[in-house]
Amino acid sequence: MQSDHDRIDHEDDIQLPDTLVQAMKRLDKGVGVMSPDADRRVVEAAGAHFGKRPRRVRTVGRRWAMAGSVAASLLVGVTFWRMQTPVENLPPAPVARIASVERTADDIDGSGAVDILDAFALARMVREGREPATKAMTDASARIARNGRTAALQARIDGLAMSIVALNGVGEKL
Amino acid sequence: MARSSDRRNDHELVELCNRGSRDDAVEAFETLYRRHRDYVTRVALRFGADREAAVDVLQETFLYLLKKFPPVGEGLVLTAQLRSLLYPVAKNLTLSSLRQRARIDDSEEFDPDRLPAPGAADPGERDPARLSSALSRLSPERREVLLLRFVDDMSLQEIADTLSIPLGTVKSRLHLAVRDLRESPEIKDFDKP
Repeated sequence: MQSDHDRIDHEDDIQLPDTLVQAMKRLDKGVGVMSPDADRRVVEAAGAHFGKRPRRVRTVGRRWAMAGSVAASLLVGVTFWRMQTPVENLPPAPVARIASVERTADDIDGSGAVDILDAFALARMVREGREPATKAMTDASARIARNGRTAALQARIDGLAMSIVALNGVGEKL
Repeated sequence: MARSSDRRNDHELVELCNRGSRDDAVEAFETLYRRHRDYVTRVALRFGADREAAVDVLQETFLYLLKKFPPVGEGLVLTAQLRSLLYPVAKNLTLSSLRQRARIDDSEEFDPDRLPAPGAADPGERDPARLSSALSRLSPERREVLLLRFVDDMSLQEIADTLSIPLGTVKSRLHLAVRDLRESPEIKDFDKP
């Protein structure tokens, strides 16, 4: 008697109608067995089996730790450098300085310095139409009267404020 | 907790089971289990296990797989689909279980040729009971190859590896199974589009 293999050796693969294949798959998958107990036992067995291995290394935590140590090193380095460097060699701290202006007439409130308060005072004075209280204010209001234009006045206030708040002391000239 | 939507393939998960940390290995194994749980159960049912026996086979199959990984085993090298490994384990465990049960029941000797066809059909347009009947009349070897090819979508070579038989034998069994099935009057209406 011939074996299966002896009789058939020329075909590589055989196909079935798709409807038949799908029906066979439905037939096979129609049977389902759910067992939460089996699930739990298998997972517990896996936990026990792999239990002696080292825990997962958290790569994200390691990355943050590395960034933190670099930042701390930089901080220590900068602190040490500043302690070793004489004060006169240190770069000036970026502090707001009162702008030096040539025109003393800009000292609107007569405080002896031209600062942002002068800009506010000038704006307030013009808005309220008050009489200037100082010599400087008299000069300023006289100029305003000569110009007589609101736009020019606003430009004046803006320019004054700009020259005051400029850190390098060089504000935009009017 | 393993994610059901884990996109890592079986090879990657097996590698984590081989060498991964505790957390990674447990998670990978759980993912493999959830991915292939239904398949192993279906294999057990194909070979005649009842639901209770199928659950036992399911656990035993995955405990067997677990022992392949360190520290107990030396590690698993996947050269084919994981199903190719799970299928014979589940099949042998099922047949052993049935043999044992047959001895306990003192019933007639277990005959592998009486392998049942897939059961518990769901209602469809064409009568699934007729298909089930046609499949049950195939010889167990032919039906097994047929199901591996068309239901499990294994290639001929994978079937040969899974069953540890020559490729030519797979081809011939498949050819004869298809011929027998097509000649079966129960499935005539399945040929219609």
